[in-house]
Parts: sequence; C-alpha cells; structure tokens
Amino acid sequence: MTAEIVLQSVVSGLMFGGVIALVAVGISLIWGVMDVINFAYGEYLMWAMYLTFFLYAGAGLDPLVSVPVNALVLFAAGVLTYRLVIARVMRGPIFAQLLSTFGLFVLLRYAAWLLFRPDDRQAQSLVSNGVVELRVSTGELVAFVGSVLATTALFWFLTWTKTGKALRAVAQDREAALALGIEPDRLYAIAWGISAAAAGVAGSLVSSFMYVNPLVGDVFLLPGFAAVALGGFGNVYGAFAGGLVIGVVNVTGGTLTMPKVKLALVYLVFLAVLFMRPRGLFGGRRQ
Amino acid sequence: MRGRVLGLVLAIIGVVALGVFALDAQTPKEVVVGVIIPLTGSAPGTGQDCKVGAEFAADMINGGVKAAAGSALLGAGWNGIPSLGGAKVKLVFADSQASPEVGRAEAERLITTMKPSATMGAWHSGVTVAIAPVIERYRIPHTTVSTATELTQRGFQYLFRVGVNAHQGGEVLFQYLDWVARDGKKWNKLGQLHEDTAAGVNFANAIEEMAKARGITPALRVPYSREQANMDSEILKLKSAGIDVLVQTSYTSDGIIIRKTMRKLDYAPALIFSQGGFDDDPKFYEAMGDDANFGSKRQLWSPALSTSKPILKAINDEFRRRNGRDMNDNSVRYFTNVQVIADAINRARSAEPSAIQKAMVGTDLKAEQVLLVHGVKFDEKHDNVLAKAMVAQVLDRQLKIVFPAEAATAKPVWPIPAWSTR
Repeated sequence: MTAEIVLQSVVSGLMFGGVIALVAVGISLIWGVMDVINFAYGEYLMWAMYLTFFLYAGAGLDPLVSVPVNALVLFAAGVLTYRLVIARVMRGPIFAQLLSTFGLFVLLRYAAWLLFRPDDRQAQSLVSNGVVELRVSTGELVAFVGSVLATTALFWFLTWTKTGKALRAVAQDREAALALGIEPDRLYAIAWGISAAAAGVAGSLVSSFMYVNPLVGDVFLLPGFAAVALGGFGNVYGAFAGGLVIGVVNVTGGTLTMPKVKLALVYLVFLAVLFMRPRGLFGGRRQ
Repeated sequence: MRGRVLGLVLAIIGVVALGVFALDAQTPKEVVVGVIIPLTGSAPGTGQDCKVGAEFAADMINGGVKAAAGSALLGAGWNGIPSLGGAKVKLVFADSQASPEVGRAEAERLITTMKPSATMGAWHSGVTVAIAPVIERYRIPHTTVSTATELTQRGFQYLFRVGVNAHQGGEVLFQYLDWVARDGKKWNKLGQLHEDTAAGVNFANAIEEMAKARGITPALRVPYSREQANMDSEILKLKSAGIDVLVQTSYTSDGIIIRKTMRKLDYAPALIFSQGGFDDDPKFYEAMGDDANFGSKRQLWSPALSTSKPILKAINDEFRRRNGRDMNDNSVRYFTNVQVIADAINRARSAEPSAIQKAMVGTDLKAEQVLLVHGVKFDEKHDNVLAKAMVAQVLDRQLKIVFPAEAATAKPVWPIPAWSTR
C-alpha cells in the first residue's frame, strides 16, 4: 500500500462524497424546516436521472446541459408533492407523514418500472470518459464541483435572501415565525421545491458516470441518510460535511482495510460520532 | 328380478370400464412447463435472453421451427411430444426479480396455481438455492444452469444441473493459463473480485481450491455487495496488490461500475476471466461501448462450431431473424433446458412430475442433440458429467472463442492493453 494509493483513495472518496453530500443536503432541508423525513428522496433522484437520460437519448442533450432543466422540473415536482400530498398529511399524525412519503417511494419506483422497463441505461457526456491526474474521472470531478456550487448557492440563498431567512426562521421556531407574520405554507412548498431541485441537479450530475435503473435511488439514499444523521439532523451545512466524511471513510477505509467492510466502517464512524456528539457533528443548531 | 340385478351390475361394469378406457385414451393436449427467471430487477436483459431461448426451443418442439428439420437436435421435426400424441409444450413464466425471497414465493405460486409438469430456473445461483427446497417439497422435476456447487451437494432428487458447475466452469481457466504459458506469456498474481451471493462465493471457492491443487497461491480475494454506487476501494485494492490475472463474478449493474472504475484508476490486468453474468448481457455492451472489449469469459456455445455441427448456424440464423440478435450462452442454455425436459417427458410417456423425474435421471443426450458445446448426462448428484466450457474474449464488442484452439475463431489478445493505449 503506497502513499500514492492512499492519496488516491482520499481523492476518490471526496469525489464520491460530494454527490452523497448534495443528496444529504436535500434530505436535510426538508427535515430541518418541517421535521418530515422524505423516504422518496432517492426516487426523485432516480426520476431526475431518467429525465437526464431521455433528454440525452431523445434530444441529444449532454447531461451537464440538462442541469438547469432538471432543477426546474424537479422544483415543480417538489412543490406539487407538497401541495397535493404533504400539506394534507401535515395535519394528521406523524405516522401519516411517514407512510405518505413511503407511499410516494413505492409509487415513483414502480411507475418507473412500468414506464421505463427495468434495464440499465447510460447517458454519455462530453466528460464521461476523460481522466485527470490523480485519476479522477472528469465526470466525477464535474459532479463534485457542481455539487459544491449547488450547495454554496443554497447556503447563500438561506443566509442572505428574505425567503431564505424566513425558511430558517420557520425551522428554528414555527410559532414565533407565525407571530412575525411569516406564512409557513408557502415556505414549506418552496422547501420541497428546493429539496427536489437538489435531487434534480444531483441526478444530472451523476448521469455522466452512473447507469440508471428503477432501483438506483437506493444506492444514494442510504449513504445520504447516514450523512444527514452524521451532520446533525436538519443542519444542511452538517449534511454536506457528513457526505464528504462518508465518501472518504467509504473509499479510504475500504482501501486500507478490506473493501467488504467499508459500509461497516461508515456506520462505525457514525456510531462513534453519535456516542460523543448525540446530535451529530454539527447538531443542535438548526440551519 | 335377478335378471334386472344382473343387468344393473353389467351396466355398472360397462360404465366403469368405459370410464377406464376413456381415461386411458385421454392424453393431455398440452404439458405445462414453468420458467422462473429474472425478468425485472438487476438482470432483466439476461432474463429476456433466457426467455426467448426457452420459447424458441418450445416452438421447435411444437413444430414451429422449420430450420431445425432434418438435424440431430432433440425435438427437431417433432410436432408436440411424440409419445403423448403430440401434446404441445406450454411455457409459463414467473419473475424472480433477481431476489431469493421473490423467486421462492413465485416458484411456490407457479407450482400451486399452474400445476406444471416440470420447471426450470432461476438463473441467479442465489435464487436457485432458495427455490430448490420448494421444488423438492412439491416434487417437480427442475432443470437449472446455475453454477453454485452447493446446489447438487444437498441430495435433492428433483434438481438437475444442465450447465457447468463452478468447478467445470473454472477448470477451463487453468487449462487456458497453461496454454498461454506454453506460448511464452507470463503472469504473476491471481486475484478474485466477486459479488457476495451464491454465484460469486461458490465460484471463488472453486477457483481457490483448483488453484491450490495446482500449486498456485491466490494472492487476493475481494468480495463486494452489489448495492453500491462506488467501487473505488475494491479496484484500488486489486491494483495495489498487482493482480494481473483477475477472476471476476459480477452481474450487469455492478459489472458496469467496475469496468468504469478500472478505466478511471488505470487498472488493466493481463486477463479478466468471468463466468458470465455481465459480459453476456447486451445491456453491458450498450453501456460500455468499446470499454467492454478484452474481458474473457467461460463460454458454452459458439455458432462458429458449425463446421463440426452445421445445425448451429442454421438455428442461430433463424433465432437472429426472429429476435434481431445472435444466440448467447443464456438463450442457448435455456433452449437446452427445454430440450432436456421435453426429452424426459417423451421417454416418460407421461405428464406426471414423478414419472418425468425418473426418466430425467436416465437422460443421455449427445453433443449433437443439443446446442451447448457438450451433451447432457447426469451423475448420481445430478450434475452434468459431460459439461465443459471454452474461453471467449470480447473483441470488437463480440464474444469470440479463443480457446481451445480447435474451436477458436480468434487469437486471444494477451495481455489486455493498457487503458492509455486504447
């Protein structure tokens, strides 16, 4: 095991972590703002990947060019999900909320199965087959940069815009925000829109190096959830950091020990963090 | 009075006798055969190949494939099962979704609702391991091409393996390595990368055992689970250990990620040898393009063998006319599954599962009667004693036989060229 291999594994891990981070940010936003876990999040990502694939196969659009299209379409899908489903079950017991996103998960997965068939498809991008020094595929590098940019844009939005500040206010204290005249319903819809748009962007970005099939959401959702918990539930900054940690532990940990145990290592780190900081690395602050 | 009683008795005897005769004369119009394969899930392209292969064979047995006429193929020139008065073979399909739990439930559903005379499947070794106890419990003769060694080690009476087992499939690797070594080609370390269900684990165990028996110490073994988006650590491990003969067991989705990661991390061993699973799935070629090239796999069929078996070309041409592609290991093996079952039904002269099982034990099909490179004859464990494999390499996105020399259609490319030179 040379230093070069270890360094390579860290770089590989960061690239992988970047994608997980964006997924985690999307999950974390909804949780932070309204205490709802979206089990269907991986399926949004999968539908976004299909959208990317069909734009590529039908209109010849490079997966990278489809990023804004994906973001807009998924934003609309997120708002629609909130208006049609979530707004209604918010009034019900917490079980109703859990079951409704689980129901969405089932619906989206099997609709994809029916419509798109179970085959693996692969879009090709300008950046699909390149490799840059330290052996990072250009597809992954672009996905990593895109993920950092998208997350930065979200941070900026949450920190500096009026709507962003209002979102954080609702997240911190719903009653107080109401008293200040903030309308939570509209903000919830926006939060769902942004969260789904993050899945849209991630879907486009990973499509240049990852196949899509109706089951592909799973391989991103589980590490995504782990990243959310690692970073502190509801903290989008923490979720991003959690994603990167998970990527590096996964690849470097697997390379240094045995690849077979890499997921166990991820959850070991996860447990260790929860043991020392029960609210996650950045827990306690709702951002 | 007495006369009337006698008349009544005679009448009853007559009716019963008629009934018996009627029963005897009654032969089934069709024989139901169940096929359990992965039509959705992680290997749908493969399941589709199995399906069209089985359907093609059933059509031949039912008299619908004129191209087979006059050949030695079992079922050529038939018009239904001859000994059952031309009863047609009717295939019913069940989708395993590539999952042991689903496969098991589907096998049970198929057997109880469709009452098949025989079944076959489920392609994935892990699924076949799960359904074997079900078919044994319902006493339905079942043919499989799954390779996991353990399948025939558990004393099942109703399970028959038509294809190679892990040892038979691995044997050809070592013959091939000896052959290339005689040609002056060198290699240093044998390593394995395999998915961690029955197919991967059994094949890796078999390879390890056979390697040690030949004085070769396997250098590294990297098992992995299929549901993941990143395989960097697996490939880095193999690369840093300097593995240059890599034995790989993967299915399609993971096979795609692995090959892409090899490219990214610039890992090109001298030989990649698989038992199929990804590199015989058309979807793998669609996704990988030219990067699919240069991998090798154990192969059980080739239309190029038609110099010794002319029927192979005719059959393959007809298959291509119908399905728009050549037959491959999966369609050929499922074609053969149907032949083996039809042969047993014909010899049993019955659509009863127990009678078919008894007949199947005595199966003795010569190489020219089936499409596989080998014939079919079962030992006491119901492994196919005749099963053997060839080595094919992907060249120009097509599998070409490179070993043994007498069947070869291309010279092997050894070592696999470095990624930077492609």
